[in-house]
Amino acid sequence: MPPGDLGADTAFDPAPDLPEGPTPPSAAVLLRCLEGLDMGVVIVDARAAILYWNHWMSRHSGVPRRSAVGARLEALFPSIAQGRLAGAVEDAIATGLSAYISNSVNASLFPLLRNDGIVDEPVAQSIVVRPVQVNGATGCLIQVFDESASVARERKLREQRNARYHAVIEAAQDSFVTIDESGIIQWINPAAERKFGRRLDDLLGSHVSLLLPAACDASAFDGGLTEMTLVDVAGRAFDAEISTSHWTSNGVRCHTLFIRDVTERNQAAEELRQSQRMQSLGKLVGGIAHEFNNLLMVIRANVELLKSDLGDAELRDFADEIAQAANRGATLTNGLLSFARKQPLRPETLALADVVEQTLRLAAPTLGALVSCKVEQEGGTLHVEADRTQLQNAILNLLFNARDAMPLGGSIRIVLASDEEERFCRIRVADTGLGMPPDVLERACEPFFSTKDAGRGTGLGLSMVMGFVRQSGGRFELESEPGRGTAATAWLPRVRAAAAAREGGAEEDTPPPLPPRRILLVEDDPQVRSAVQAMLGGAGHAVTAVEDGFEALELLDAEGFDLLVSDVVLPRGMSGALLAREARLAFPGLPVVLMSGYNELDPAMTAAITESVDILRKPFSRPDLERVMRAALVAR
Amino acid sequence: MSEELVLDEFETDAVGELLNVAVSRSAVALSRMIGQTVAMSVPVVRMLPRDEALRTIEGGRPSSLIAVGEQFSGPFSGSALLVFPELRSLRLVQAIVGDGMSLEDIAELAEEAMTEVGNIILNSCLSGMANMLGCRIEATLPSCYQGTGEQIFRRTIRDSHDGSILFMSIDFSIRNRDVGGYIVLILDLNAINNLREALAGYAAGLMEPKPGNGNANNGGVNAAG
Ligand SMILES: Nc1ncnc2c1ncn2[C@@H]1O[C@H](COP(=O)(O)OP(=O)(O)OP(=O)(O)O)[C@@H](O)[C@H]1O
Ligand SMILES: [Mg+2]
Repeated sequence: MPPGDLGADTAFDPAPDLPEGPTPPSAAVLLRCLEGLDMGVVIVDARAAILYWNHWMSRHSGVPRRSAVGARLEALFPSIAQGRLAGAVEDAIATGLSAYISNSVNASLFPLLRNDGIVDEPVAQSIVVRPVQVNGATGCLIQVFDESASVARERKLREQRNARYHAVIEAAQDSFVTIDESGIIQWINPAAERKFGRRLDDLLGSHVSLLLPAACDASAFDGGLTEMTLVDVAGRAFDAEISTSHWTSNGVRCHTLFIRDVTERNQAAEELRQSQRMQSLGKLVGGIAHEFNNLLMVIRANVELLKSDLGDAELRDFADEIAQAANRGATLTNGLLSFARKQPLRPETLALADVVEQTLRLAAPTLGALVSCKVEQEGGTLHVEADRTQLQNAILNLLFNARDAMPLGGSIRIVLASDEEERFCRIRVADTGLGMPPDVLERACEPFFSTKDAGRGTGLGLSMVMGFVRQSGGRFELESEPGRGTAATAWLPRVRAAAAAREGGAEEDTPPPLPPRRILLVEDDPQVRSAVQAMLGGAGHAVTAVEDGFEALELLDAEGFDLLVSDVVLPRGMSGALLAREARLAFPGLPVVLMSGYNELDPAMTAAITESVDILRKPFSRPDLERVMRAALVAR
Repeated sequence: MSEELVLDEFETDAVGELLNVAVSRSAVALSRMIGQTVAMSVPVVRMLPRDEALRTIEGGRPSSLIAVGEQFSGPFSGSALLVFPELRSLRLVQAIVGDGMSLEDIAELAEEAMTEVGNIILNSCLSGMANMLGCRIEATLPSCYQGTGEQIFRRTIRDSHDGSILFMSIDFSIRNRDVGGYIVLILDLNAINNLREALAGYAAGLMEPKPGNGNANNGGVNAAG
């Protein structure tokens, strides 16, 4: 075949540039070059019969030239009749059109094998078909390019790129969902597959509202961070925080949604909010209780004065009634304060069994005949460091709850034990009552939570217990099962026997009255001041009363006093604690008693008070006052 | 002069009919290639000036387009463009290669696939024309262009172009997915005149192929009639 014929006179395919110069290569040279090409070259004539079949084609197709030449393509390779190649050859011959046929979209091209002696993989090929003048008529030139190497390279690059990307994406705990502008899901990561229980394959091409019902299209995610409620594979609703990144690939704007389950975080925030609310409520309650204590103080002190002056027994009974009412009021404010964890605790070393014993004796009448109660102690005598009254109160609360849970009777079992490290004493109060369903159990310790009728329960019991135990450095736990009873357990800091031994018996003796002393009283509330002054005066002491710390210091300087009794909260910026410290600096060894309405003593203040200051909790009675004064005076 | 550059209503309809036949032929070719039913139609054919053609293609805002172009010559010369918005071209390729691939991976072979799809469609339009005109149309290999309509037009239409633009929309339906694009035939002056003549013959029921410069191997061509 004369080489000049190749590609001649096709309008857009000018004759190949033959080397210029005097002697163009001969036809034989050109033919050898065609044979040596690293691509397939096939020429067919106007009847679509093969005219030329180069060596590369023979090698990769397994069809030698002598079989190929003269045959029609479809006859040699029936499979290509199905594909585009046959049509393209026809178009080229009939009309003069050219065609490009790529491996990426066509399945049936030439059945060629790599034939490289290592593996027999198919050749990834792309084909160009052009009309060409052959022997005076239009035939067609078919060029076959081997794309195997570039296909392999691309695949490898893609895998490399994807590997790094997937390492990040697949390890992620958050769900990633990629959608296009119209909201069609393009991709999701394994975390999302797990979270929603859907496979990527099933979701491809689906609309994103399948996973995020609230999302109509991608525009829902243009506003940065959004939160919505979604449903996971288990049907559980969860709070999802969704951040979005936009990117454009080949003109397509895509959105990748990063979906984080923030249910737990939101819960924690809600709990924090709740506890902050409780805290401010506590502050409020504490403030009110403080005011109340001052009032009760006045009432109580005056009733006592009244009683000592009254000869008439009947009138004294009236006075007693008033005193009792004041006492009940004091118990109430105490309850409020312990909820606010603000009641001033007076921790002392207590023999646990004794306290429990005394408490049971107090409670026995109210427990009723249908409720039996027994105490077990594991190991030797246990001592705790706690406020006696509050501990009694706590145990009483637990006993009453147990009683209320056993309307038809039952038994209460109290077990006292030590933990293994001997750091805590465990007080466990178990009943055989109705128990609590989980939702009640969860809320039982909340202040004001009660399932009891209005008037029967305030809902402060357990929150008080909890507040007291925690404030004492312990912890509190409730276990309960409906129908099987409830066990409440409190752990309180344990005191070793050696330390406990120092706390001798001689507690309950009534000591002789104190000899008269010169006392400086500092209190800003005029009523409380005069009440306490009367109390002290009634006991025979010489009392000078002033309103604030500065006056007090001046007086201390001018006159001699045996004892300073001061309120904790004082005006003009000098608190009782400060006054105590200043007074001590000027008069070392001066006994000081501080009166406190509630736990105004914040840690900073407490640090400012030297150990030998005694705290007297308002409202107090004369014996209380006597006891604390004695302690203060004796300590000197 | 300007009057001559415009096809009248009848002529336009005739071209539309012709191209619909041609395009359905390429639908068959495509269906065979991807083993799925492909439906294609050319609902509207219009003659438009360059600027209006450009506006229509861009659909109101300059967005990224993909075009496949071929140049053809013979008694009938000019260039042919198949134009899709880039996003829709990806849809088309996705429809062709199947849903199993992500858009990202598809984007990698989009150009190749689009080139080929354009090649098939444009070739069948051209061979339809050639058959009707009874001549040969020789066409180059397809090239793929990407950019705004303006950029594409600048690269494919000579500034000095004084011929007409035959403008048509084309609708595809593959795997229940509809993809719309445009076919733009930029005809040189001679082409318009030849086309009108041929159309006149067509109208007169003269289905005799004119002697072209090749052997009239026009087998099933008259299917167009
Ligand atoms: N031993 C128990 N058995 C069953 N339910 C209990 C028990 N202890 C507490 N509860 C439940 O927890 C709720 C809260 O108890 P809490 O002691 O705080 O308040 P209360 O007993 O209702 O009122 P208050 O103790 O202030 O008079 C009770 O109303 C009850 O539903
Ligand atoms: Mg209670």
